[in-house]
Amino acid sequence: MSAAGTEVAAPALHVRGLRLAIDGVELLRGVDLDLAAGECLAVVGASGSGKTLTARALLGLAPGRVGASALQIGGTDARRLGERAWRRLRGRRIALVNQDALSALDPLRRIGSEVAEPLRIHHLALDGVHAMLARVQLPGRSRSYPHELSGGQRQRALIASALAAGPDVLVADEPTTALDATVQARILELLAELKAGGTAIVLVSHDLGAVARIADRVAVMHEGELVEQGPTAALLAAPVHPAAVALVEAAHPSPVRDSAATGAETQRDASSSRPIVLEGRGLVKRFGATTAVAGADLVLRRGEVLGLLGESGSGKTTLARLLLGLERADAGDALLHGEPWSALPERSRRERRGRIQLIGQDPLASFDPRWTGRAILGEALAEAGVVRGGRADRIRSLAVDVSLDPALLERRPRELSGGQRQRLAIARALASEPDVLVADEPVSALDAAVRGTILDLLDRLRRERGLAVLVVTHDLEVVRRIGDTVAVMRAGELVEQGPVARVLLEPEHPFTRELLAAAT
Amino acid sequence: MSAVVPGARRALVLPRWRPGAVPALIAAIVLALLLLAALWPSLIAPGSPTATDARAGTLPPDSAHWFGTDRSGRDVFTRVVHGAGASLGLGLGATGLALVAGGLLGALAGLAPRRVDGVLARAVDVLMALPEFLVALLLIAILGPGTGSVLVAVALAAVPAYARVARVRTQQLARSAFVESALVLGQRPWKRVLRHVLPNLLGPLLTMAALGLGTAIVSAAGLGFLGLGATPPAPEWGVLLSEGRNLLGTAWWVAVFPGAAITVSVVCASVLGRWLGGRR
Amino acid sequence: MLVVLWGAATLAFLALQLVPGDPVDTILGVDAQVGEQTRDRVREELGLGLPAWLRYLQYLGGLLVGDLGTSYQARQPVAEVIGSAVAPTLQLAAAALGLAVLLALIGTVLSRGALRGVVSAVELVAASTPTFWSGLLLITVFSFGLGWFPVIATRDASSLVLPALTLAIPVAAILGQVLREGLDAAAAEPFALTVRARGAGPLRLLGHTLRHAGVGTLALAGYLLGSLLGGAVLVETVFGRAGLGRMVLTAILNRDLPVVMALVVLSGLVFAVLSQVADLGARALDPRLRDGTSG
Repeated sequence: MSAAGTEVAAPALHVRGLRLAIDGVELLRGVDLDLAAGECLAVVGASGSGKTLTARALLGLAPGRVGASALQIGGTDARRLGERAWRRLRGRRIALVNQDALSALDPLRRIGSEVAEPLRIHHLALDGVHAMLARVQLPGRSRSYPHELSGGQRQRALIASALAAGPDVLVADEPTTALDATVQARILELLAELKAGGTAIVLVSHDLGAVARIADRVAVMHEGELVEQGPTAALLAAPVHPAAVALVEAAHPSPVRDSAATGAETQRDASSSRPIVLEGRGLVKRFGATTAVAGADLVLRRGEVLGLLGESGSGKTTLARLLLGLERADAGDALLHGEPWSALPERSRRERRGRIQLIGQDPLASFDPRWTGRAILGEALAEAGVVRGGRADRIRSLAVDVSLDPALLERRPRELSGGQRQRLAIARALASEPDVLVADEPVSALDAAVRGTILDLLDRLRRERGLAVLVVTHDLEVVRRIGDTVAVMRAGELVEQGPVARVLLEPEHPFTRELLAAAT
Repeated sequence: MSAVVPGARRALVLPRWRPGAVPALIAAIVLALLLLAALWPSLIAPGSPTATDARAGTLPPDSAHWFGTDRSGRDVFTRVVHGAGASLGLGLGATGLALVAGGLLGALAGLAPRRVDGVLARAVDVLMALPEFLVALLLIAILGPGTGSVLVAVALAAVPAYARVARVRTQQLARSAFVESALVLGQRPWKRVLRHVLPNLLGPLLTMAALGLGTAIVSAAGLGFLGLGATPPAPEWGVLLSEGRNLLGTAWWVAVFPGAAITVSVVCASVLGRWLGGRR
Repeated sequence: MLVVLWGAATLAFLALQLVPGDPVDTILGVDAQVGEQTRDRVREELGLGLPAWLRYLQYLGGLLVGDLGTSYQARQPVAEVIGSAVAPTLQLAAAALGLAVLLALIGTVLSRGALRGVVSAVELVAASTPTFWSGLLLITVFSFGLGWFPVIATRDASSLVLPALTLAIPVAAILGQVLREGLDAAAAEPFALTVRARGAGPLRLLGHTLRHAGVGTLALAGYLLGSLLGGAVLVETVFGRAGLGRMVLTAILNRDLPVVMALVVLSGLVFAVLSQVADLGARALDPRLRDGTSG
């Protein structure tokens, strides 16, 4: 543990020309990394750029053939280590915090034995387990199972198990992904504490917000290569390589946010005169003993984007489903164009289904896996009453409308990229020329760079077609970027509503303030 | 995750020759040959399966009698080839019946109102609690021995398994995001079922049938072996085995070859079924 | 559990009603030259004259106090008839299960190495081989060929070896496949990477994955029971052993339906008990199953 502090000559990590090939395909093409004790290096990049493989290669756990001209872990040359020697290094000198804490901990074992395992493997005294759990603020939880903990607690337990044997280097792969903003902030605080305590951290992340908070330096990866490296502040302020520029731009919509904010401010008076297309009145939904939505009032006007903002489990998806008439409300009404909607039987609603369309959380699951894009759009047009002869042209124009190459329509959804799938989903939703689009987390499964283009597309559709869009999201940036108004939801209740500029600049409810604080 | 993406993308453009398909290919060829034997046995073995020859009793395998002869001098090879029709026919027929009946029952239960579904689901649970072979035996007890009884018994005994899979899958599909998408488009319920639920149900059921074919062949032959199916001297594989049983000490070939035929059929059906199941 | 039992009993009763022909014929033998009076007396003795629903209730009531009815053939209480045949089948099934677990574990260990392909091919063939053929092969080789084991069943333990092995082969194959798939699936889970990242070797990793595979294997308990009981019918016939399997076959051939019904109910009971035990075992292994909510 103290080795890194005393031997100044040996850096925590020294990597030169790290290469990796699987089945002859080069996935890492010469990665150079340096890390000193008490330093945090962030490795960022789009998915598929090789970040995770790099992280695994640092522990000798990458699949395929690995080579490097230098691979030193705390002064040990790891290039020619056998499996046994690697095992002595893993957990003891260099530890991994794997992606997705729920599946990264053995679900059948108690937290305590998970934290103790590195100690057992390296024949260390087991008395540090409780202290370690206390250190990550999980005192007394050693007898809990992973599924009994919340997302943030699991992540802390996973970090505790990685730290148990006192490694000098911690490799954390997406430690804050899939966590709510407030929980993310706490995990980052914990990592910052570790850093201050002398642990060297490699933070693999696609979240530049998290990176900006704790990383000293940033390395940008692109297609298996490290294309840019530098101090965090400098690199994020002035990226040079196109891939780095794209990442930073996707994560920093601040200019857009300003214009959107002021734009919404001036539109505010005009918008209140626009016709209301979708309205929720006192909507309530219970599942057994839990109340998912507790009396929600909501108004969506023509040509307006309403961001429904909340953390996971806040009931925002249920509210959207009530408005869509996919879930029966226990009380209250949803009105479409001022006429009854949610209270009707499905049979009477069918005629007007085309007026309000859904873009789902997981576009892939929303398509029949056997069908091509063309068949999917054809079906949507058929249901919208377009006669067979006119469909081919309309399919093409729908694809063009959402900037999807019509040639891709011959593929099945699983052969499309995430962004292309989402475009196809939007094209399908447009087939009936609806007045309202409900988009449930439309970009949460997408890479940062693609995210922006999909949001721009939704914004363009709103402008060009006067569509009303309800965007359900946990991501403040989404609301900032395209929202006109925002409704903040917490534990089934809408705690604050209003124009984006007002709510984000002068939040009234304490929870909104907490959300804003966590995200900046 | 990152490692998967490039490979997956390339596989789309140029499907690589997968070595995993070789056993499936061989299995398909062997099954095709067996089907040929089942449909036109005389093409492969022109002699009569029941022709006796007192001078050629219990001859070991040689160039004239590939699989030897039995006690009455009947050619075992000819009998095995001619038995393919009965044995494979029973297996295929029973599997087909079970697939259709179980699939429909399960799909109906999956789409039915909760109360109806509950009753059907419990009934299936009860039947699943009993060993399939015991259910088949019980059905034979009701229907009486005979080839037709074996077909019905083996089929009905397998119905609960198909019904259970079909029911669960139907419910999953009916709740799936893509069926909901069709609802959002305003599609009518029957159209959703016909266009999205049933076609997606067929794949898993066919895979199951390919794997279940082996079980059906074995069950049918087993019932034949116990003397509950075809009556001797009909050349059904199970019956052939039971005939050979009494000659084990003197003429092993009479029992060994019909049994090998059963095993080979079942192995091939399993290989093909697994390949179908894994491919999707 | 009770539903399964009640369902099995009802099913058995329904089956009895569906069987064509007069049970009295079965009891007295079709060719028996007896007068109408005798027939009526027998009918009355067995309560066959009563309406079906009443007999159904009587039957269920009898089951509750452990009365399984009277065998047509043996003219004895079914419980006694079955009781006399339970021991040999239990021996056979237990020996086969033990052997199967042993073989499956050996296969799993072997498949860790270079023999993976061979093991899975052997498993495939073993799972596909009908017991009534593998039994005959074993007799041909080990009894007639090598003379190691007796051809005819005796009270000797050596006469249990071949039948148990025959019954064990397909069960071992299925067990091995499921165990191996479970281990592979667990090893592909993200937690396996975490464990390796802690510096664990293959043995310690196996400690994690074996538990996961065990949960899936326990779900197989019902199926294994079916294979053992269903297989017993054939194996006991092949080896000429006495036991429940032979009894059910004889009962079916002789249309001795009370015995058949009792065996159906009994196998339902065993299944239900076994499922409960397997369920408890799975809960012990997987804490996520304990709260009634999955993960």
